[in-house]
Parts: sequence; C-alpha cells; structure tokens
Amino acid sequence: MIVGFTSIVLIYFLAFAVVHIALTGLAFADVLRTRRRQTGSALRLATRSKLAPAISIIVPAYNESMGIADSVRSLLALEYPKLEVVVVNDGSSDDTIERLIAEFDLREVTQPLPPYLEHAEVRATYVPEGRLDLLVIDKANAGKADALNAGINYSRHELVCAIDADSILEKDALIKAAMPFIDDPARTMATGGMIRIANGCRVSRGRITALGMPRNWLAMFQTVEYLRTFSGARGGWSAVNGLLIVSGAFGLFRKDAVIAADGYRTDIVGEDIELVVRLHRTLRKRRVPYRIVFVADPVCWTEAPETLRVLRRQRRRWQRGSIEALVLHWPMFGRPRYGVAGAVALPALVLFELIGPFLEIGGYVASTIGFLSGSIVGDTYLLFLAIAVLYGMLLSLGALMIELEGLGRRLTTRQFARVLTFSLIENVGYRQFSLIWRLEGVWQFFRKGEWGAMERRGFTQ
Amino acid sequence: MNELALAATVVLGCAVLVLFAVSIVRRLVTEVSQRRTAPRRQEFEQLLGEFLADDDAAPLVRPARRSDRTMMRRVLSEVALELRGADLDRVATAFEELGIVDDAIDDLLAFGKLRRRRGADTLASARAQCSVDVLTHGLDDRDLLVRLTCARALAVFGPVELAPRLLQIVVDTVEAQELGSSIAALLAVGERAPSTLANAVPSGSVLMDELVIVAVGELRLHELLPLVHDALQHPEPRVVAAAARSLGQIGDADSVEDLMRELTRGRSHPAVVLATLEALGELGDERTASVLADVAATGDFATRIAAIDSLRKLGASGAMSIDAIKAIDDPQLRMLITAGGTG
Repeated sequence: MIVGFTSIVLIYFLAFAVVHIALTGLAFADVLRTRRRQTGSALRLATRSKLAPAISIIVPAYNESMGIADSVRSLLALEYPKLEVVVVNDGSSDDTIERLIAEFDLREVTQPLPPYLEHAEVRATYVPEGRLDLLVIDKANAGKADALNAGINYSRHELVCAIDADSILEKDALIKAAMPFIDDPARTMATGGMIRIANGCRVSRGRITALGMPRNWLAMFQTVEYLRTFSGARGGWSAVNGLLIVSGAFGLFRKDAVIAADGYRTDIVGEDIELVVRLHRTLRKRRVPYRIVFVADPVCWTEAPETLRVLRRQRRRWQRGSIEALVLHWPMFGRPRYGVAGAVALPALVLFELIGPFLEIGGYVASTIGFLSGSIVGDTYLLFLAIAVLYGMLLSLGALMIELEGLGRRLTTRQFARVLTFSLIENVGYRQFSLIWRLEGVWQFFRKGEWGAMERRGFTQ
Repeated sequence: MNELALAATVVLGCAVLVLFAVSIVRRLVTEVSQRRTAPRRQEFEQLLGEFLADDDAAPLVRPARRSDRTMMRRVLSEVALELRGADLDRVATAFEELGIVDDAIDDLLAFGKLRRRRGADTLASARAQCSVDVLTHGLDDRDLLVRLTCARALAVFGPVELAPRLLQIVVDTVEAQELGSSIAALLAVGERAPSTLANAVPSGSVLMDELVIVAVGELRLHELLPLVHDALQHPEPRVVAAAARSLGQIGDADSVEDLMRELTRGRSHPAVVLATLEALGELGDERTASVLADVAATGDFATRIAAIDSLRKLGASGAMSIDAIKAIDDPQLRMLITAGGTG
C-alpha cells in the first residue's frame, strides 16, 4: 500500500510540474509579447490621451499611524493623469486619523452616504484644505473588506485600485496596470500587478530608493516564492483568462463590475480571491465578454513576515481564503460554462492547493515509513526525494528567467546570486514547512479558528 | 516504478541544470552591457542637458559604437516625449547629428519585426524630414504595429496629402488595441487636415468612431460639429458619451437643446447621462439650470454629484437652483450640497 501511495504522489509531482511548466511558459510568452508590442512611447501616448480612465486608490488603514502619511504622499505623487486617493481609517486604536488630519491639513465635511455597497458606520469624512485629491473616511472597525467597500462607495472614479496601507507602488505602476483598460476598455474588468518583497530595500518617504534583498532568511524564501507565484503561475493563468486571484495588496478593478457583484464579502478571510472568482461567475452567467489580467510589469512592494509565527498565521489564513472561495463557488467547479476559470483553474486549485499539501506531506511520510520498514528500497526513496526537490527548483528557475526580462535587470550580481541560491534551497525545508501550514489552514477552516494580525516592522526610516 | 522515477529525475535534473546555466549566462550578458552603458548614459545625459540649454552649443558628435548610439536613442526618445516647441526641435537635431536617424532608417528596412518596430518608433520621435520616404514605405509594412507607428509619425511631419491614407491605416489597425498610437495619429491628422476626420465616421468600428469623436473634441474642431451632432444618434452609448463630452469641450452653445433632450428622454445609458451633465456644465448655459436641478433632485448618487457640479458652473441661476433644491426634504441631497460635492 505504501508503494502504491508513493507512486500516486510521484505522479502528482509530475502532473504538478507539467501544468506549472506550461503556465510558466505561457507567462514567459506573454511577457515577451507585451515587451515586443509596446514600443517606447506607447505607454506615455496612451496615458496622455483622454482614454486613460480615472482611478480612485482605496487605502484601508488599521493602526498604520507610523507610515500612513508617507504612503499617502507617495500615492498622490504617482504618475497618472487622473487620480484620487481615498484613505479609509478602519477604526484604528492608534492615532492614524489624527496624524492624517495634521499632515494633510484636513477639514471635516459632511458627505452623503452613497448607496452602492453596505459597510459599517462612517463616523466622519475629511478633505484637505488645499487642492490635493484626497478623501479620508473615518469609520467603525469592521475589517479590511468592509473598509474597501466603504472606499469604493465614496470613490469618484470609474476604476478602483485596492491596495494595503503599507504597499509601495512604483511610480509608473498605475499606468502599466491601467494599460489593459485603455487597450481593451469594454472587456477588461480587473488587473493585478506583481507583488514584491520590500524587506531589505531602502525606503524613504514612501518610496523605494534602492533595491535590496532581505537579510532575513524567511523573507528571502518568500522573495523567491512570490517570484514563482506571480511571474509563473499568475501570468500563465492570466494568459488563458483563468486568473482566480488578484492580490489584495495591489489590484485594479472596474468599479461598476465590483458594485454589480456586490463588492467584497466581509464575512470571510480571503476577500480578494473570493471577489475575483465571483467576478468570473457573475460575468460568465451574464454572458458578458471579459478579461481579468495579470500584468507582470507594474510593481507593488510589500513587507513580508520575518518570524515563523507570523508567516505561519498568514499562510493558514491564505489557505482558508482559498477554501472559502472554493466552497462558495463550488457550482463553478469543472464546468465549461464558467470558462477556463471554472473548468480548469478551479480544479487545479483543488488538486494543487488543497489536496496537494496532503499528498505531498503524505508522500514524504509514507516513503520514509516505507524506507524504514524496508518496503521501499533506498534507491527508490532517494529518487522520490530528488523528484520532490527538483520539480520545485525547475519552477523557481523558470520564474527567475521571466524575472530577468523585467526587474531582474536592476539587481546587482550579488543580489542575483542570492535569489538564484534561494531559488534552489527553498525547495529543501521551507517549501515543506509551508505545506504543513497549509494543512493547518485546511484544519482551521473546518474549526473556524481565530486569525491574528500581521505584525509589521514598518518601512519608515 | 524505479524506471519511471529515474527517467523523471534525469529529465528534471537536466532541465534544472539548463535553466541554471541559462539564467547565469543571461545575467552575465545583462551585467556586461549595464557596466558598459551606465556610466556612458550618465555622461550623455549631462551632455544633452547642456546641448538643450544652449542654442549655440557645439554640434553633438556621432559615436562610433552602435551600442552607444542605441543608448542615446533611448535617452532621446524619452526626452522627446516630454518636450515641445523649440526644445523638441533641438532634440530632433540631436537625433540627426548623432546618426540615430540613419540607424533607425536601417532598422525600419531590416527583416526583423522588432527592429522595424523600434526603427519606426525612433523615427516618430526624431521627426526628421529625411525619413519621410522610408516611413511612407513603412505604411505598407506587413506588421500592423509598424504601419501604425509610421502613420503616427507621418501624421505629425509628413505631407498633408497623405492624411486620408494615414486615417485608413488607423481604421484598419484600431482593433489591434494600440489605442495610444491610434489616438496620437488621429490627433495629428486632425490638427493638420481636419476635414479628413469628417469622412472617418461611421467607420464600422465602435472604437474608431469613439476615437474620432474624442479627437474632434480634444482639438476643438468647430468645423466638424455636424459630425459630433450626428454621433449623438450613434447606437453605441460609448460614442454618444464621447460626443456629449466633445460638444462641451468645443463649447457649442447650439447643442444645449440636443443635450438637454438626451438628458430628459429617460432611457439614456448612465455613462451618457454623466457625460451630458459634464458637457452642460462646460457650456454654462443658464437655461439648463432647471433640468440640472431636476436631475440633482431625482438622480442616483453619481448623477447627483455631476449635476450639482455642473450647476455650480452656471453662475447666478445655478446658485439659485441649488438654493431651491436645498429646500427639498432629502438629507442626502442637502448633505451633498453642503459638502460642496466630492470634487
């Protein structure tokens, strides 16, 4: 039985490798196609024209007093022709709102309650005395999803960009993320950009002033992991319109599509993945032609957890979010009516994200037991472990190849060597740990456990 | 099972080794090229700054190495997008003196598609008269993006007689979703040969119709007002919204009644309603105050905001209407007025 199970796991490894190599290949082709298509002036010409849709950046903030002013300042300075920033203070217990009022010379204004999405009570709204395009909403605490709904409600523009308060956007990130909306305004419903780990970078007044690599090993592992997830898998799914997640740290949505889908759900932890799956579902049902696009170029920097405790909590939460989206949208599963998202991407999510951790961990345990009990010979055991490690390395290196076409050019040799090294060694130990956390996430989904907050060290120096 | 596992291990192992080697080679190539060009780029940027600041500056010298010219081409193309007038003319001179125009002409005649695209894009930035023939030749290129970029370039500095052909190229390529280049070409054609745009609508493409109407509004082409008026009857709301906005931009007082009709017929698309309200605000005709006040009193949230913003632009009668609707027993409306709109 042990040998049979180990064989199943081996087949699973190979299936995983084949699917993800195909996705990485699609992503690579997409990056090359985009680069070849966009001549130097295309971006600027497009955004200078009246075709660039106006964007409201929604910044939910909970106890972000330390860096909120710098974040808002850097968002207001982004390169984009029509832009407003809507900060939603989600009942912070620190002095986030007071700091915003002082830094931006805000005055309270009475705003009507817009009728589109439901959310917790808004206590006050503020605008600056000057001409900054900034709106600050102070509301009762009800979580990030609720704050995003409030921000969408009060936003003025046709596109909404959901970001985290501590996210740092590259100066031209919005232009690049908005390009699909400019090129294909009728069909593009959402775009997501590349999320990178900012630990180790030099940050000043809400801007990355020098690229760096994290000194902390855990953050370094996550750097490689993000690379694989975003450059490889998401780019690949996007190429076939099967993208199921637009990261909560940086996503651009058509406001009317989000409102038509009733905004973010506030009773779950994976509101970002759930919204995207719901968009697929509602748009397919209404037979609206649409695209949900991952754009590899626009970059958003975020802080990664540097302790096992926080990282574990984050991963369990993400896993729970994926399961919630799957359970809520189970009717889409495997049905061609819901396009690639329903027929292929959701089954892949179930196989690789939900069943996968059980199989892989089970495979390690079973093969070790088999080896110790003598039912699996040493050679077979070693081959099993080699495959488990090699397929992960292959995917990480594939993503690194994509990276070298983009931001990788800006890395120093030392930084590149570090990324390359961690691309190889993250498959021995770190990946297996993250599998265990994901298993815990599944367990906690059924137990509905408690979820802690991300502990941030902050970027401000 | 061992055979299968062994084969899989060998395949995966080889693939890992190949990718490992390729990524290192790729990185080394980038590193070498960056090491060589970074300091030279800095030097060139400084030199270019001095050249642009001083009309009597010594001519720039064509560098012998093509890699240097490629770096300079990138810098100049970025700079050209930011400048206007005499400064842009100086940049055009720099393009020629440095031999970049000659390189770009070679590129445009090359076999590789990417090289031809790069060449066309550079020539569009360089605006050199000596490139007109080769750009005209590029209008027949087999690659759609090369054709469009050549059309964009010629629309700016080519012979005006080419305008109808350039417009046709934009029509043929508009569905390729290079809207930045398309609208840039349309704006340039419209600026130099406005009458050409008159024949472009209806084009058979909603996107093209919308772009033409946007261009007419941006250029404030009074002579093409009939075209914009006709577009108000277009079956696609996107085109109607663009037409309403363009009428506001052009400032056509005669269109007030048409716009009001659009607003009051009650079956307009929300985008059309918002664009119409915006246009009425731009036109500032006091006769529209009562219609705007009605919309402010009865519309949905977004419409109310737009209507009140437009009322504020109407002067005395707008202010009176705002005072009048304050009396309506609607807390949302009262708050909206007190708040000064969200704009």
